[in-house]
Amino acid sequence: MSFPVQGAGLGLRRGLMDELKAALPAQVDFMEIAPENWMRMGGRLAKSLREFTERYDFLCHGLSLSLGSPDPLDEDFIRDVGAFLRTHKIKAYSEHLSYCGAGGHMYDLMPIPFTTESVRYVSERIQRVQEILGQRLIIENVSAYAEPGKRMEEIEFVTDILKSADCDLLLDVNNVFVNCRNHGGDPYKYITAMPTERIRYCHIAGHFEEADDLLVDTHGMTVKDDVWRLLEFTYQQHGVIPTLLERDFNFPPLAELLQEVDRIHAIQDQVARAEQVG
Amino acid sequence: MNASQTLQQQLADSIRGAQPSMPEGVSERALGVYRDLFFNNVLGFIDGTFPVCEQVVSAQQGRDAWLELVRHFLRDFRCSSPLFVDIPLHFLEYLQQQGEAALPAHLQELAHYEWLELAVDIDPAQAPALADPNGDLAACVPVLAPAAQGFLYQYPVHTISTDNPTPAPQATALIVFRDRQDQPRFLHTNPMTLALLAQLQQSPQSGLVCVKAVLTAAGQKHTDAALHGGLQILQQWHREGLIIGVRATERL
Repeated sequence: MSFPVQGAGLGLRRGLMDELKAALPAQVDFMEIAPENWMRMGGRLAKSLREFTERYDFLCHGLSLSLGSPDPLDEDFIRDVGAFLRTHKIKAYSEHLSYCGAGGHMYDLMPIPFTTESVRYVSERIQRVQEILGQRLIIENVSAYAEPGKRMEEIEFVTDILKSADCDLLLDVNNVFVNCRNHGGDPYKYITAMPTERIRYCHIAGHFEEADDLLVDTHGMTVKDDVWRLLEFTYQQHGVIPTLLERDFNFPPLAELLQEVDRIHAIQDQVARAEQVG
Repeated sequence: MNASQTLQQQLADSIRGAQPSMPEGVSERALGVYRDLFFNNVLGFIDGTFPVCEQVVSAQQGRDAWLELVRHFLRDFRCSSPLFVDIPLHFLEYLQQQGEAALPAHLQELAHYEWLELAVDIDPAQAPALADPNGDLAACVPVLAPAAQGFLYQYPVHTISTDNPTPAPQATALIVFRDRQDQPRFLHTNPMTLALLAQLQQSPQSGLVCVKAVLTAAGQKHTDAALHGGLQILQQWHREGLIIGVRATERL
């Protein structure tokens, strides 16, 4: 299996840039940005980004493709994303298996009904995106607080789309954990059911526990121990996979954030060693 | 639309607050989580771009009035841009569409002025390559800093604050541009010099030709004093960074 990047990564955010620039951390093997926050943009921010993309391997993780939306695909936007990917030599492009508007953009993620008609509709749109870009799209399982119109399990929905669209997977381990808690389900069974050969990288992040049965995927706090364990299990099940830490706000000092990047490395090393021994 | 898409439209409308009923499979608690997430996300971009406008509205009518305005924007406006940085632009478009029903004229203009700072900061324009940053502004074609634009407001927007929330109308000319350090800069000027800026942008010729064209358009004679005054403005703009030099190869 080939990966677009290697090792452990960190999501690049505006709020982290100054600290990162002051001392570029060596344990960060790759970074990731949302193209929607950087494209069609000039000035100081564009220059800053350039410094990072020239130094690190980069992935793009989209927010506005709105793969499941009833609105038509914005093909001009997709072509602009393609140009942005080429300009910054981005290694791969992922998007949420979700939709972010219906009758206009709403700038956050909504759950697609788990139905066969959704599988067909979304798969066709993914194929169209892949056709325009001339490259494979990586889709990410998203966290959700409701399962509107559900007619099949999420596991089935995700794997059916991967197959029928013939695309790849960004496995968000925290989202698996959040959804299994919110809707009932076994996160270990979920992870096991994902097709190894399609996983291109993983995400890990912190969530907020609003209630026992309501976790909110905030990306605003440290990764929970349960989720670290699930990441380790993911590697044991599928082999070591490049993994990126997402932190969107409420930033701790950079050194603390890098400890979590180190922990990804540690789990990767540990599972790799165990595999060699076994 | 198939049944799944109809449900998706209902969920989107419910999150916007445009539909009171709960879509199938969505609890009131879940809808509340989504409404908060979506609203706070959009609010963050709007608060970050329009801080003075927010302070003035909140001071005069309470923070809830401002939140209500953002809520109505989320509910009623169809945002076409996939870029998050365009959320404030869409909000501005919404305000303009609503007119005085949303905000009084002076706060409408303030919102535009505040948005300009963001727009200039990220404008894709780049400074053109210059042969001579210190060339003769009268004889050569002056080159403007990236994202340079002039605006004529009906109110002194740059003076509005919670201490001065409702200034009297007064024609106010402002020029905005991005300086050599990539920072947005504002120059307070007058309508006549706005015409000179427009001349430089629309038909770039030597500084002297541009000054003469503006004087002619204003029905003024090309006296030595008038020409000297015009060229002095160009020199001042050069010192302030609005003019970054001249195209040295051409002499018109």
